[in-house]
Amino acid sequence: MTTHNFRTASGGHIDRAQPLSFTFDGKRYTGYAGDTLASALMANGVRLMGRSFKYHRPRGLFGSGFEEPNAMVQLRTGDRTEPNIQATRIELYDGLIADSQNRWPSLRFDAGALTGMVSKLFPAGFYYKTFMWPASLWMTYEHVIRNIAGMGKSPTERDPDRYAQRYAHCDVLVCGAGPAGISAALTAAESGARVILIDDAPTLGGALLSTRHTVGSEPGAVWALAQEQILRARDNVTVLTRTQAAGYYDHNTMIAVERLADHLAEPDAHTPRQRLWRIRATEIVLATGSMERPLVFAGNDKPNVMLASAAQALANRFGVKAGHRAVVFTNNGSAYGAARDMANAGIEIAALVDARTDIPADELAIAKDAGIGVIKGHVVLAADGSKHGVKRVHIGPTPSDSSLEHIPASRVIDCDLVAVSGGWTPSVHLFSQSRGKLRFDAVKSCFVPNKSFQRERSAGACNGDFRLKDCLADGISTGADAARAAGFEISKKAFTIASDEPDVQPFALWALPLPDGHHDKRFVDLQNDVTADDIALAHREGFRSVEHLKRYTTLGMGTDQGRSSNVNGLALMAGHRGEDIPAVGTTTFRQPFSPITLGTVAGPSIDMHMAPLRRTAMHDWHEAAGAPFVPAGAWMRAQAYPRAGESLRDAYMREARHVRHHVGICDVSTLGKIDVQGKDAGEFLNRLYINGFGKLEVGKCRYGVMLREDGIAYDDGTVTRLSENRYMVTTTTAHAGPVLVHMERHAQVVWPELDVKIVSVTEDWAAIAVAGPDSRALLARVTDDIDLSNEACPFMAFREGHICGAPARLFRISFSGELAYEVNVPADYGYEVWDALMQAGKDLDIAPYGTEAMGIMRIEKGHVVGGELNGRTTASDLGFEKMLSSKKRFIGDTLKDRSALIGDQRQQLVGLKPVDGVSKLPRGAQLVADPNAPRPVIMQGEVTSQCESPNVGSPIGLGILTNGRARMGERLIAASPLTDTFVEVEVCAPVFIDPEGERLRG
Amino acid sequence: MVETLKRRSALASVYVKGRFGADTNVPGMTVHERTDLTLVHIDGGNDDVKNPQGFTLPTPGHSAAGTDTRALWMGPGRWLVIANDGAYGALAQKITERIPAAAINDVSSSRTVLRLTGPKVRDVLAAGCPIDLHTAKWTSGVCATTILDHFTVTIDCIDAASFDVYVARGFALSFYEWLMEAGEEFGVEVV
Repeated sequence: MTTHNFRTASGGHIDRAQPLSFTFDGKRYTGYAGDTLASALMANGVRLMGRSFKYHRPRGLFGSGFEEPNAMVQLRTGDRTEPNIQATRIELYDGLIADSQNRWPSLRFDAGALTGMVSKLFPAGFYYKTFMWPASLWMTYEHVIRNIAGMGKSPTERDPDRYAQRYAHCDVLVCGAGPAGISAALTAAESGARVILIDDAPTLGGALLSTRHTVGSEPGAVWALAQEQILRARDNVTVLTRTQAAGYYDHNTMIAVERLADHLAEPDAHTPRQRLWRIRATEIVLATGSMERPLVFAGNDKPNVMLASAAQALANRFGVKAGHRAVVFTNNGSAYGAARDMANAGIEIAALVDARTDIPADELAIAKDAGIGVIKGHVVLAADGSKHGVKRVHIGPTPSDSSLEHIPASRVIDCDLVAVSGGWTPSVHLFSQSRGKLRFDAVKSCFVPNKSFQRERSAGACNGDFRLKDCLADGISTGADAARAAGFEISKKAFTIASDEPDVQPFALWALPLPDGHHDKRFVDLQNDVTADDIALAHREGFRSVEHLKRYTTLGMGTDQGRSSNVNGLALMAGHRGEDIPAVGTTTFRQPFSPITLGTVAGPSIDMHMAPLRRTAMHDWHEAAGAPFVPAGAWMRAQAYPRAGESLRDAYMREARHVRHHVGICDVSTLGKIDVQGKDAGEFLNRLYINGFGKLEVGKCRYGVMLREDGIAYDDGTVTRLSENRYMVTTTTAHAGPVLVHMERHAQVVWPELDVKIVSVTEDWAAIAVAGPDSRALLARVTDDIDLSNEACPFMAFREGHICGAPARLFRISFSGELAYEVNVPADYGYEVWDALMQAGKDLDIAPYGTEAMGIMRIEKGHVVGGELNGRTTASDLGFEKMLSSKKRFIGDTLKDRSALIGDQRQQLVGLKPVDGVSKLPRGAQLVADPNAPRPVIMQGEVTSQCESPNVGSPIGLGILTNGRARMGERLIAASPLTDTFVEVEVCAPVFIDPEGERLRG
Repeated sequence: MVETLKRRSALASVYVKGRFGADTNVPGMTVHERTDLTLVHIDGGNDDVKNPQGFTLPTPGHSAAGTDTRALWMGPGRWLVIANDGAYGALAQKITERIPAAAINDVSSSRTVLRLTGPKVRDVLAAGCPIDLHTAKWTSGVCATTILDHFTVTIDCIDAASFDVYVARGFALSFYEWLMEAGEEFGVEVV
């Protein structure tokens, strides 16, 4: 373990009584509670934290928060490993393990750094230009390039953690809990409004934690802590820390990600790792602060060249000296406070190099008081150093001509830290996501919010008001405005605060020339290795729009989305174009602000909960019987009931044979069931179905077919007249929902004058098909109030009574073609009735059958299902032409007679059997005369259903075939080029068993 | 032949009484399945259904307690009446007699009903419910058909810390799994 060479003797918001052990690149270190991984590494003197994306240049810590472009690590190991995590946002915990990224074979010796030595060969767009030709080989190149470039590695194991989600609503949402956000939240809360305050850090305070400003008489951090306690104590305020406001969407919806357990080695047993918040706010206050901007000079990416605010945060918040001897380089007044704080922490300030010649007296006073020498009108032209850090800087007078490529350096200063400030960039990302429009503030040289699109307002530094007194005052007035806009009464409090803070009015300085004899790169975008020369190249090659610039050079891409590089890049492009910065514009900021885990987005909707499952009342019985399930929409249906030693095929072949000789029961609860009542219920059904229901007697069922308005067959099922004005309609499983909607729409919108009420009762009734020659005998044993004789309960009869003791509806209908009944009982009785039927039928050799056997038997009988009701077939195609009533009008009535839907070119339902009697019909095969005919082979039809039939004794199928009904006995080829299967088939009638229907009427 | 049948809950295979999830002092949520309820669906169609004798049919977005029943507003002209009396069809028959023009269905089996109580119930519901469940808006007698996670549910506020959640029987088990996971971090007691 190493010692904290760079830790101050005291100070910082860390708990020195709580040392924490951690490992970086296999080496163990210690830090303190309150540290980030970045601060702990800096305290231990670790300067090299990663290799750059393209050139593999050594990189160290650069920022202090979201803007960090370099110090991204692979955090944790194994199933919890995560790539590209900014070390500045990782709270240190005991046992933390992190590794540097994008280096091979090790961070200190990186083979990829050779690309930097030959970097003249790797300009912007290099990969596209070189490897995109020939296009077919890109896939090959890509594998190699991805190994060299790229960031961290995705985990390969399953994520062991759980992720939660939460909806929330409030009157005022405040994003960011720095001085502006805190005062906005306090003010809005005073009005009684429901307030949610969110911040990414573990405690409130924002920049107050990293600076030494006071609020009133209290140090800023102390004030922030007190306000946090006040806010948390209020029952109209929710404070969410460790929470990133990630995306601003329509309807003032903010998506935020709360990290519940990322500051721990692993979550507690019952705690989700993260929670996704969907917050709907009446008003939103954006108080997201600002980020410091770097300056562009040669070697500005050397380890320990960092933002002045980062060095200041290390000193004030973490008690860490970022170096021993620093050069501070600035173009604005904010670096003076940073330099003072660094000096106070014990860092020798070799020089404060200020590009300005006219420096306000109050700024100079800060330097003087801290004993810091200021070099006016000078700039840093280059930094030298190695992977161990910067060693010296070359300075020269501020260039008067920005087009110069080289100027002589006037002086060299030795140092191990360069702290730079190029001004401040308001964090306008959320504002921009909300579709608000920005404007460029030339005095502060930054983009600030201009025109709102949604109900939001910006306060503090994100609005270009950088000074603490402005942030506090802004927060109060904005918080009050937001509360008022949300409908709450509030009186604006007067608020003044003394402040000696200089304002930020940077001297425009976008890229500095190289000192004579120097050839190092000047980086604009550190994360994507985009240099000032790359931007010049993009301009020369015609990629002058910001959007083209971004795609061509990758400026502003990556996980940091150009937070530190955008403005400098835009300004440089504006310079090349000879235009103002506003004329160049900005790229669009998109959600999320900073990357969020996919696990949080998925939440609990994983595995079996990707979509909800629907189970019938008898589900547990099927499961206990070992039945495999097949999905039918959300429903889970038992496929078959394999006995010991049986394959699935053995089971369903047995079941399909069994039903035709004995008795079987099948769970058909999934069919849609709709209760239709009212004086006009009969008329309503007449209009929906192609066949008539006016003369259907009470206590009778009838098969019905519906068309769509365009004349295509829609759905089929039975209609049963329960009483004078009450019917029960069944639908296919798949169309239960759509048919209900179809009915509701017609009842409410098209024919509101009809007295008809429609209620889905699918969930009420467990439905059991009892089928087979012994079905009557079985049911006779379990009812004493229904006469089952053929005379009393003939085919298509409906009876009410009790079955197995449960109130029941009995329909004598048959899908299998056997003597069969469908029993409906209230679903709560379904399991017991099913079980009772199984018990009662033991000596009748009763067997349950699943969807496979049901499917075989319906193909044997030529009943149509989804394969035939495929959205292209008409009633006539399917053989229902005799059902088409000519005595009434019904939906689809007119358009069914369109010329394209009639005549002998239509494909009609036929039966198919293999000529050799053994070959299975290929699934989805096309019916052709000769598969070897010249292409394109004319497709005459297709196989819509196929099975092996244990009752026919051969494979059979249904299909649709051009003019099929006139072609009985013809031979065709069922061709499946996909599976290279070709079977000669004979066209036959689509009923293979009992064509006269004697069994079902027996 | 079976003489008396017992109704079987859709949750029969998963409903286990006891403490689950976080070891909190007071369970954040207590779950109780209300079984053997009678549920009757009233559809008045376009008719203006007046309160029938013995029942109060609530206004949109509300529920109303009667003598032995509770009625929930389900949509324009539609209500669900709930009673503890378990005789199948009896309540439906009674309502049919009092509102002959309406379509009445005994839908006792159609929904699984869970009584959720406890200090964290609103937080659990907010894990999947996009409507605002704030105490000021959701008081006793407020009721909505909405979504919880993937599920269509009807939520009826009984009092400040208790809700009845109605979910379609077929989805009940899947919903129950979601509910228990949503409640895990707060501690759940099933009674």
